[in-house]
Amino acid sequence: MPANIDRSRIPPAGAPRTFNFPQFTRFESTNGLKVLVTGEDQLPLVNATLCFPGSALLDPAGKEGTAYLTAELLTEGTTKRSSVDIAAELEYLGAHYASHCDWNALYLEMNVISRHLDRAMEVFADMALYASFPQDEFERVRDEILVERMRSVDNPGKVASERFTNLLYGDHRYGLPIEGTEPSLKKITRDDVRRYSDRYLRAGNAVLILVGDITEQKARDIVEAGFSRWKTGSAPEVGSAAFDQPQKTSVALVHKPGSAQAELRIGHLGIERDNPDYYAVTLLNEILGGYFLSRINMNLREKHGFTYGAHSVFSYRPGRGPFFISAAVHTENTVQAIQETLQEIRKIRTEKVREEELENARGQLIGVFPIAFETAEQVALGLANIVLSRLPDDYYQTFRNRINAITADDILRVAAKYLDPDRMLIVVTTDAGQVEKDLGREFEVRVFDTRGKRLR
Amino acid sequence: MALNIQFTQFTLDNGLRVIVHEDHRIPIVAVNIWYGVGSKNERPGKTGFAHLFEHMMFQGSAHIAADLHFKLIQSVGGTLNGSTFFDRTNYFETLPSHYLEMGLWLEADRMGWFLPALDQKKLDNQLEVVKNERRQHMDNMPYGLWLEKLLGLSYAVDYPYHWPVIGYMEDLETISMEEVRRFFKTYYCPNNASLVVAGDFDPETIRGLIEKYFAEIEPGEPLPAFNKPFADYNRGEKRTLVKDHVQLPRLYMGYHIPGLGTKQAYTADLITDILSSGKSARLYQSLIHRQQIAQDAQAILLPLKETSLLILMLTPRPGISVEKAEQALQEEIELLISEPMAEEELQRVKNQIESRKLRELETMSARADYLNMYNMYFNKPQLINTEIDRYKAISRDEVRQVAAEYLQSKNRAVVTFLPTKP
Repeated sequence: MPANIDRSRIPPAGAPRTFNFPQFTRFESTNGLKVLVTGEDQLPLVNATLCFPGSALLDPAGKEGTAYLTAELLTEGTTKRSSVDIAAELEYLGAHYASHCDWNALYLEMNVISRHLDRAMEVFADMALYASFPQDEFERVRDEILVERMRSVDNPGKVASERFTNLLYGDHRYGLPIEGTEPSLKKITRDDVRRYSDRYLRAGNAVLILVGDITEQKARDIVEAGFSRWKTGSAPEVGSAAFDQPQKTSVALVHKPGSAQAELRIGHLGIERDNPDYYAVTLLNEILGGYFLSRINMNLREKHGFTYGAHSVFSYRPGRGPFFISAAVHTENTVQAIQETLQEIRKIRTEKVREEELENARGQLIGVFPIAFETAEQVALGLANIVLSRLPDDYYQTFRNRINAITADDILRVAAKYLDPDRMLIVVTTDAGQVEKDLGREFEVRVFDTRGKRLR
Repeated sequence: MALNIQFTQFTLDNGLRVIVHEDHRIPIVAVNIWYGVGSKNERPGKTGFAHLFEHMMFQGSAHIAADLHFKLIQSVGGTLNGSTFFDRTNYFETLPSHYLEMGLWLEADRMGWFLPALDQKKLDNQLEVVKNERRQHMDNMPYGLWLEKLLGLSYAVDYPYHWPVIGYMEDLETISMEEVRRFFKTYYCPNNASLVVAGDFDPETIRGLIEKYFAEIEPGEPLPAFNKPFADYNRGEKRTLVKDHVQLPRLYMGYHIPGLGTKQAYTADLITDILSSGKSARLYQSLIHRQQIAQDAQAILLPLKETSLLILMLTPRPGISVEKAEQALQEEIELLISEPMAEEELQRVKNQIESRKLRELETMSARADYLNMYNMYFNKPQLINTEIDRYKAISRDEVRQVAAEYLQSKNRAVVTFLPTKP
């Protein structure tokens, strides 16, 4: 039995062991395919991610959803394999594979046991190079997406997020859902998908990321065997767009009859990813709503019990991504939850954050590094971030020092510069009957139905 | 490729079971504690207790102020959480490895010195948080009541899987401080817990470090083994209709299967993979791809210790009646019983399971949690390496036998969601 210990004292930390983001190698195939590879001494698994920047920003006008549909169809048939063949072949090897897109890129990805890597990569390359978009698969998948659009109104969080981005970005592509809308999806033809694929899913616009139980030589062999005959194409230009902040703080109330809670989105435009204030803004967000200890979560959840959790985020994509706070709150607390949130925003832009808060948030962002890059998939995402956000290769080497350099004065400065409580777009999705009047006493309120039609 | 996750086991004098798994690849360490208590230890009228209690465990203890638990871990880059299930409650944190001692201190304090910090105000606050958790994840979520309805139909009112883990809203209100105290004293004792430390630690000092913080915690009264055998297999079909604010109907069917760890449960789990693991699986191929009558379709095994449920879920495409969709699903079930599956299909499913198990063990946090699960449920942590053999040993005949015995209409409960008229 140990001697009595003083349990009121926090045990001191031991000596830290250094951790760095894994070293990686870059090479480029003669056709322009960029490859990033990092081998790790861990489980016998390999993660392959192929990214195509541009994504939905390259959708033809009026045919929003083309990139999304193209992504979904990459796994649904090639010139020599049907979708059934692809599934049977890859899944017999125990491989997991998927394709999807977000505002930064279109992705094809796979995870496979390393002893099956060659066979699986042959199928993977076939999907990337020779997807054939069969007519029947095209129609089936488009119908499935149309059904998802039809039922998107079921989900209050999705309804709130969609209204928020629609009102924030207006007519820009960002104002519509990435998967398109019912009218835009109905206009897309198989030829549109093929055209999109021919233009943008090319070696010159592709980055292949290989992580896990793999060597650089093996990666070179894979690229030579599977990707060397890929047409070069060229990297597309995604035009830039200027957006305006909301004119003033107002509420968009989305009436969803029978709601048991209110979904809130409160925010406005954030910053561009290459803004030099990125690091200060990252710390600002952490303190405001980025993690459990953040002011908004501690206020809305731990002090008031209004919600199971509240978060804020600066989201990044080409151009200016949104900044927003999200929370699902008990409907009767809606107005108070909004007021408390706005109050926290006012406070953080007028009063310096306390040193302890700053150190906690800094400690989280810096300390979480080894946990954030534990798996092959996490490392692959980290590498994709370097590529898609056009960051320097030593980004993860310098990140911690940059976060360390931020002061409470920096945070005050960027809070005042990038947060504006008088120009907040507030979306509330709930049964309007309960809160419309209460909101009307405090804010200008517009009311919409769940499909976005203005009611009053 | 046989997995070889090495570990050492020992038990402290107070009954706390301990497993340590060393791995120095990355400088992190996972601390994971399972307590042998879950919603099955509740009783009608007091549902949701175990989960609300889990929330209270983050509200401080005698030597740790209310907000300090989160603060100390998050401010050094650690991650943490807890979760409550039918058969157990777990608490876990992953830390940069040089903070291991702090993690052990935090877990030991709430195991040994929780009660002095308890107060009504914290309980009232977390009650509101939990009510909002329930609203967010169930009441305001499309089809969010599906499991509550399915459990309610599948088990008798006094059978301990009848109610949802989060509890009924009206029961949550009735929880008193005295009950919280009693619950802690009964279940949160070292002899009802298992601790795993996994990752980058010094093997020379780890046992001493664990003893330093946990050894002096008093054991509780020995707990009688939980004993509620389930006997209602194949006792007739039960059905209910639920109206919800949704665009499409949806079907949930739950079949009674013997408890986790039995041969039948392993086989039933493999059947869920035959039906819905990936795009080569039967429900996808037949109902979504070929017939195009389902928007989505899935099979899962709800992993319960006393008796489990194989659950099928299907959303019909618009224009397809729920009756027609159910008919098509029924045909897939009958095919499992009537047609021997191809050896190649069985092999594919086993390959998928093997790869998935490997992927699941990539993180220290998952390894620690699985070691605790096998230890608490079966007293066999070595299953982390050998469980795959249980799946590999399953034959085509056994798949048919289990399907024939348990996938009968008289052995199921069916919950059908229908859209409310706008």
